[in-house]
Amino acid sequence: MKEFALMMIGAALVNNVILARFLGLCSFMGVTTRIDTAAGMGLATTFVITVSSMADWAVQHYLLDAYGLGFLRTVTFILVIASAGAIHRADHQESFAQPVPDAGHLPAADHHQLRRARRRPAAGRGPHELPRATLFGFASSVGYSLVMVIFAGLRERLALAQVPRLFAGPPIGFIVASLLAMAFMGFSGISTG
Amino acid sequence: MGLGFTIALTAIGAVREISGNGTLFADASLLLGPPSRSIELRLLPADTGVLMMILPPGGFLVTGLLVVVKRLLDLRIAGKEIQMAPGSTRPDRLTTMPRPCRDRRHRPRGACRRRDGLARAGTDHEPAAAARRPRVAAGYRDRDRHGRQPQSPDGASPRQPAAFASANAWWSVSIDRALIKASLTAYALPLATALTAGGSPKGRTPATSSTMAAMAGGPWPSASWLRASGAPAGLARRTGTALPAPRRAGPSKPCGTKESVA
Repeated sequence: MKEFALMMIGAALVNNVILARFLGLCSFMGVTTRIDTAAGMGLATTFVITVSSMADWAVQHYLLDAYGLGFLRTVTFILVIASAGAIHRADHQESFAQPVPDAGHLPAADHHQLRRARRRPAAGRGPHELPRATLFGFASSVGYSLVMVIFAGLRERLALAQVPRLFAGPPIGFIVASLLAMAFMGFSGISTG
Repeated sequence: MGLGFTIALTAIGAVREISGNGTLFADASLLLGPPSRSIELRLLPADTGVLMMILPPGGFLVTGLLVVVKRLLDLRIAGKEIQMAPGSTRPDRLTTMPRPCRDRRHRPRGACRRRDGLARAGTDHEPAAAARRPRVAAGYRDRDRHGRQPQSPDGASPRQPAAFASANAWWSVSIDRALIKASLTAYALPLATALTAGGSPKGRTPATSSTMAAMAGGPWPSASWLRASGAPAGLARRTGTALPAPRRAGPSKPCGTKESVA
């Protein structure tokens, strides 16, 4: 239990996928203009990453390892992630009858990048690795959602601030992201085992 | 588009590597093979880099600053300059306006006919189209063709452009520009000369002490290079004009006596 807790803290805060690994930067700069869209993107990513973690583990364990097809792992994982995104989008449209403009559109590249961040736990062998892979994917996407919401809040404040014209928009966003990354570097002192 | 992406990534990587590690294309031979070993450069002494630049915050920071540099270059190429918004009194609300007297594409006919910089909208030197422009934007046509502020007719002080709503706004922007120029002069120029002076004797005398001595004499790179390379001492020895080097006085010899020196 303690091992799982430390792994989740490490995945969400210490090795944050955006601020420590430079993954998912497209949505980080593109969807964080408003808090609600950023939160929607975070929830959608959490769902897709968690579901695809379990599906990827099953594919890895029962298909790729069983038949010696390890060299097809990346291609197969992309297919699984894209399928999970499509399922989420179809389910969202059916349930709410109208799509959320940004959060409903899940770029598969971002999820594949986030998927790369948890390749090591997901690649574990044996049935006992399933909860570990699932929790690691869940914690990574929770860290992603946390940074997205924080950064969206900062950008909403920045939209009202007086900044030099040359720095308006993405440049001041990148500089604020730099400060946020410095703040998250403070979590590096946490020992996660 | 791929080429632009490559250039942008190379620029970001170069800035981060130089400022963070002091090298450029370090270990490029591992990627491109032994012939590319010649492009591996060390531009700063070891252990002098800024650690933050090679960590994730440095990546975000350099990316944001390079976007600003790109915007600045685009404005320069388009012949525009950063100016105050019409009617604004806040120096930090900047906008872009055409630079009329420098770029022919944006120059109205006859707008810069007078070289003394006193042509104003609505005068007989301006065409009718220029006269219909807002009065607040006319102040920047007061600049001469070299972009300088004109002097007042009595030559006492530069005239306040009409684009600024108040004298305070004009003075604050003028002070800002002066501070930028002063900081560039006080920081970037000595830094560049120090780096140049520090790198010059590196090839001849690879000792770290000579490099540090040369960098200490940053404002005088050539003199510091000569000092670090030992040329003045050798010249003085050959010509017999070398002064005796001062030495610390011994415990039995008081300072200031003839025996305590040389």
